Amino acid sequence: MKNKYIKKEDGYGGQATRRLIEEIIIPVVDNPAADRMDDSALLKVKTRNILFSTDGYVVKPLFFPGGDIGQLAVSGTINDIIAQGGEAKFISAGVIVEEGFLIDNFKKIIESAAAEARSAGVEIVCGDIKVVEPGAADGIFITTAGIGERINGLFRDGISPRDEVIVTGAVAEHGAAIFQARNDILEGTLEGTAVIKSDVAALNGLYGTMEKYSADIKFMRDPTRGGLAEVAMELAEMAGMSVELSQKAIPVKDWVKGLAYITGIDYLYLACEGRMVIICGAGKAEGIVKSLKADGFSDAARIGEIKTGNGASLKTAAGGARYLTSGEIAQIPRIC
Amino acid sequence: MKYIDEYSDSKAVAFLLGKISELSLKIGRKVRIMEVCGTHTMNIGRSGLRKTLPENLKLLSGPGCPVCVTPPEYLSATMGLLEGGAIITTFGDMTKIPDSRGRKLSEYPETKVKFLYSPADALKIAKENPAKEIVFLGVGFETTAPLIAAVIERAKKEKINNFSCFSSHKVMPPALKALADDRQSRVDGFLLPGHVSVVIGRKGYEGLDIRGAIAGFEPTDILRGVKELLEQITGDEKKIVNCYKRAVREKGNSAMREILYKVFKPADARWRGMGNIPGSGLAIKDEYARWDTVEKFNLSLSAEPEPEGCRCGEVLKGRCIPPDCSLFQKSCTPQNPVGPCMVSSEGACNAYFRYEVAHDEE
Repeated sequence: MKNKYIKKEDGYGGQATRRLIEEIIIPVVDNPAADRMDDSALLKVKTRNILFSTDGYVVKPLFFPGGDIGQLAVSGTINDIIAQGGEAKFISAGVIVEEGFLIDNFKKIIESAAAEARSAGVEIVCGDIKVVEPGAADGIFITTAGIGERINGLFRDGISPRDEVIVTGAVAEHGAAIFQARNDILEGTLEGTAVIKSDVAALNGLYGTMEKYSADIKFMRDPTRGGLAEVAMELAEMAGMSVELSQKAIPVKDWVKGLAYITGIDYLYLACEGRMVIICGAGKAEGIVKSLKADGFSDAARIGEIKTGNGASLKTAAGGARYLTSGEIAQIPRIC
Repeated sequence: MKYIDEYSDSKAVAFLLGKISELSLKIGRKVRIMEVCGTHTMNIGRSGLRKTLPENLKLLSGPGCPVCVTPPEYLSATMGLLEGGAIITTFGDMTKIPDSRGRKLSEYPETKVKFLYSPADALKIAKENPAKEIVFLGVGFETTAPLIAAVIERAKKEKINNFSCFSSHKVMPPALKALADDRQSRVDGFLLPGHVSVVIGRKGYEGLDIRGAIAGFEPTDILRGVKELLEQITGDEKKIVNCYKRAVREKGNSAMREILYKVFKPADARWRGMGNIPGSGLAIKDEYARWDTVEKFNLSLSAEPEPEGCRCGEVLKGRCIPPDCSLFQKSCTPQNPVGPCMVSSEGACNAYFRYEVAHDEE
């Protein structure tokens, strides 16, 4: 490792994070399931395919438009299991809270975690709590771990050219909501606060489509840190192919566009916390999108395709083309 | 989205590109158009327009990114102030540029270097730290200078005497003249900066012997400006035309110029890569000397060399494009920049790195 200290970028989830994990953690942990660095680990328990995932939550602010750290800590881990093709079943939670934290806020956070789990059909089965001195945890930190079971038949085929890219809903709303909550950019404007909401949600609504189209779905990833662009870049690298997205097809709400426009942030790099990117075989997107819409994912859309070549690129709304690169980072730390 | 999407409508873009192709074909030779504003550079990359233009039409990036044209000695002097105990307040991009010795403001703790969205916040910090000297890095063009002038005026009115502004502000028209006179740049026409033009108006460019089109920042705005310049070339004309009438008035914004020239006066200034350009800077007037960092700390700046191998200076003059530099994408990246054009989110090298070149994973 070249750096002497941990940097903020090491937590953004992009190249720097990968380097930190690859250079320091993987060599000493050295486990085939962990080495894959997937959102959750696929484990064989007798004949069953079990998924196991863990994630720490340090979002700031703790209460943001559309959700809070409790809901996020549950939905985030559920979605990591779903991204690996699993149905989430059980969750554990470790809570680190500061001395002096308001009991009312603590209660709200735990209640929204419980509500999110309940509505996603997941049980919170164990937990731990530690109290630390004021200032040691920026209010509250939560770590959750989750267990699920792989849905049969998914991800059988490898990615190949002409495969199609789908996103299950409008992008960038979590990243934009957090940015807005921290900077009050749109405060007092006409459309203002009522429409600004994070998309944070457990994606258990995808189970139906995942089962029905298990033979056609080749890959899933939730576009959290680094947004849609980061997923496209990782996918291109992993598959050794090019991922071409179409800006016109990517669903995005006006308020997100407006906020991105004012601040100069590229919304393709802003996080979602309730969306999934799905890669399916050629010609299969139409059916999958239809099924998603029927299950309440009304903004689901086919947004691009896989081609031979390398790297991620974007056909712009204006009709031009550009690369999606790691040079563009929406540098908003502590979004989840 | 209303008033945004219309300006990147693919049909309108295709229509303009058709016209631009026709005109370029008619001209036949290589045409070199310089977009002076960093936001133009960025939006050309972001909208993917560069690849859609005809072969013989080259868009060059000019000296329109304020951070990029700030000379290295300014940064060294800032480091000196910092070492001397002052709190530095600045817009974000300045903190990431290495000085001649490789030091960056971003390496200092947040208590010593604070980056602001609004210059007015510097006054708040000054009030909260009465025992400290608060220096605001005044970097920008006709667009940002009026805001900072208003802040200096307020500091005077409210007697906030531990605040001062280190002005490296610059104005555009003298730089355009220098570029037009630079034989190696061979610029056929200038896409003039929309935001600067809001302040100085079309009239602000009077007296310059150049082809110019004042252009907005959306794809169709940019292409309309390009088309205008090509028409001037085919018609053998040289004039300044306002293609951004929804924002720019003939005479500009007099209220902004009034506060600007209440506090600042024209001065000579050094531009990175371009050297000294007479009358291209904005110095703080004597009445406000108390809030002028240069006067207050008795600073004298002498020219310092560019980082070795860095071609930012040539990029800024349109003599080369970023991939021509041997450091580009190799030892110079946004994560680890050598020159300022790679740092700034409006810098030409940064824009090329982000949008125009494929990236190999290391």
